[in-house]
Amino acid sequence: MKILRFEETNNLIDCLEAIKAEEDTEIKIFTAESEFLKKNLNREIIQLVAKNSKKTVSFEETAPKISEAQAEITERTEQAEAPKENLGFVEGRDVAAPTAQEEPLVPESKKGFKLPSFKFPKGKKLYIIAGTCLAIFLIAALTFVFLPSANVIISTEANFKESELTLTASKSASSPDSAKGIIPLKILDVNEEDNIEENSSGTKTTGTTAKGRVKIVNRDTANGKTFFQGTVITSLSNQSLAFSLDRTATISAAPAGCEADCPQVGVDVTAKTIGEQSNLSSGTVFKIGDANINFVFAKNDTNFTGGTSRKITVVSANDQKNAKEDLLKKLETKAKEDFQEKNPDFIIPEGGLTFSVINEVYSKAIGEEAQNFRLSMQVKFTANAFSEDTLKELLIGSISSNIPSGYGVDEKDSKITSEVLEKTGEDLKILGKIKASLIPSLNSNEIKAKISGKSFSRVDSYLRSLNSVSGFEIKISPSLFRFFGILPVVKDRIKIEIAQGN
Amino acid sequence: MPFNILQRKPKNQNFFVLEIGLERVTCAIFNKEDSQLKLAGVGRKKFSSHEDIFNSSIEALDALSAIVPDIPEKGILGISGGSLETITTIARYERPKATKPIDHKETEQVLNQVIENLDKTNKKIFFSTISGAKIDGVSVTNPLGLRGQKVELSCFVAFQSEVEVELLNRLVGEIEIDVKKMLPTSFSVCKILEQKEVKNALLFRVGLAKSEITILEEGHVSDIYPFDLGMNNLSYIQFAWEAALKDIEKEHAPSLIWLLADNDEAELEKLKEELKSYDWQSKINIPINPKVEIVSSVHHFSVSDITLYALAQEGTTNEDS
Repeated sequence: MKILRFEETNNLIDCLEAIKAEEDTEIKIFTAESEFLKKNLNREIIQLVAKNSKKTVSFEETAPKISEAQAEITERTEQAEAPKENLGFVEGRDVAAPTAQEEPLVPESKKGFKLPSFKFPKGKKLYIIAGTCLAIFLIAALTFVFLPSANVIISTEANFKESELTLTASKSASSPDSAKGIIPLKILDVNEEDNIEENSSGTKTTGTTAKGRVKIVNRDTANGKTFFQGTVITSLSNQSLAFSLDRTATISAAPAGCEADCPQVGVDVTAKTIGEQSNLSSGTVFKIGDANINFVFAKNDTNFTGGTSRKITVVSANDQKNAKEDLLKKLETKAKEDFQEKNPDFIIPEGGLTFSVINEVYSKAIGEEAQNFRLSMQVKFTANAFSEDTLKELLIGSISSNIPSGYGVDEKDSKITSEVLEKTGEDLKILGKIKASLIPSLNSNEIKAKISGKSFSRVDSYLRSLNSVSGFEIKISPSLFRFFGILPVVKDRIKIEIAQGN
Repeated sequence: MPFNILQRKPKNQNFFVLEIGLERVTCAIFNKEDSQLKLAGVGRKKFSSHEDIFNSSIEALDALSAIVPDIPEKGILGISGGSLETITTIARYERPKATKPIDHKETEQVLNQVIENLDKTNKKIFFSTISGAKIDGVSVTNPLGLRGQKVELSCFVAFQSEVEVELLNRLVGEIEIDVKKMLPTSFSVCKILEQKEVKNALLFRVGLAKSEITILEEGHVSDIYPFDLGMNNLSYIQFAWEAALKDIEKEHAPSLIWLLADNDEAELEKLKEELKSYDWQSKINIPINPKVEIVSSVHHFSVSDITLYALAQEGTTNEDS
């Protein structure tokens, strides 16, 4: 066994090279002296490299007593010299986790109690104190008037109106025309490229054909026979097993009364199909083509051999089709994201995205043996897009006359969709749909004026009296002012938000 | 507008990131503006041995101070390589009250119990967390607030040698940063992989002479292995992934290998080719060749700043929590 020691200056590569160069097949390495040998994966790598070179490696800790003592002394000296910095890391705990609150520092209570002496101020001091009190009062009053702010969130009953409108998206139009129902169309292009790996699911039987040699015997006394190359012979016992002659065989007519000495000729044959079933044993009798078996037949004196078959996994046309569909879906999603990122204000109607495949490469062809295969594709996507805001404007315009009185459309919460109905030349006929969110037309300024400086109970009865209001919430900031139970006196300090309820 | 002065001032969202990489130290300052992270400045310095880390960190900080003079007080510290060791322990137990939601106290108790039983000779734990969980057989990333009876918690623990932790304590004291969190950098980088919805993967961080393999199983980090091979030793590097994956279960075989350069000198195309041409089926019995990708930029952060971005994300979630 060879013992290898490494110094602090050595590294993993030195160790691997030393193992490769070592003639002994059993190697022991002492680990204590080198830092790199303390890493678990380095040790595993050493074991694998050794195994690859047909060697075995074992590790052993060296613990010479002198070094250990030195280390201990050094450690103690360090501890004595430098007090440890405390990072707050606790062994066994995640420092990111919330820590227990430190105990508050409580000042020691003093024994006994004595009232401070007090003298009523006179003269100049009196004015100063009175002025200070007045200033404090003024500041408190101003603070009370100007500091508090309120956020009043009024919930209204949810109302929606749905409508559809047929529009023409035109490439030549530069601005929308609500009267003619025209919206400008923009054509956007993007090339996307990616690959996908899929498993193969097709199966195929492959193998070799059986080969052998037969002798053809002719008992026909009247005619000689010629059987051309490729003539099919079939086994009498199993007619599904067919073989073809590898070359043309000619045989003369039989002499009268021949038995075992009838004319015969030997010829090589090859099975028509692959598989072990064609490995026929010797003595099998064959019918030759359509020839009468009583006059002419073939027989093998030796076993047929070489027929094999096995099932393999191959790439099927369906696998390639599925892979293409999957990748196209992936690329389409990517293309839509790219369009959205580059043109955030535009929408693509349903059916408005077309594609053409620029490049399509499969790592394995149909029928090729493979457990999996990869498809790389480059596709050009063309989007027919139009401005979302313009469409929303046109759709809202189309329903504006049918909105109940006292209501307006909340553009932010209204949802629009669109789909392509047909293509006419370069223009598209599209169907735009809107689910418009209707909110009551409440006058914020009027509400502010009515509720400013009013108590919560009066605000409650006023807001409940308003049409379509289903609830409200008041947030006072700073929350301390909630204690007074009234809304800010200055109406500019009140913010009204109208939210739609469910 | 009157009394604007009384409005609450926006919280100072600057924070400091120090990353001890495989072969270089990087420090950076991030600003958080409208939930977006913006890199205010970066300082870098290479180191060749562990002893150089202290000086290199100070020099990297000096370089950063030249760009951004105000160094924030709070920071996050990312660790790679060195004596880093990790272990994931699965804690299985049945809860007596299945209808009670799992709370922080319960997971902390389990984690503490796991930690108590670990061998900590000559090493110190610097990070521990519940990296994943199964509740009544259903995998979840965060068990907090969920209910169930049969619970499996993946307790991820990271150690470093006592000597290295001491050095980091000394460094943090010197640069006067209040470290809010210290964790393995690769652990935070793997959170970017979560967005790719990859369940089983391998993050391969590569330097010139040192590298680190992180194994992701069922969407969470199970092990991090530093080792002393890199782009300079391509002839041996296959043994590293063979060693790291030798005990991997078939159903956890990586479907993606994500290559991340530790520094700009590590050109990963050659390694990518090595990994792609490797015979996974016959050598480690992994049936389907994993996809190999070199990490590209994330959210406008360049490749060389991805580790910083990942740590900064940890910094913000820490702040938020």
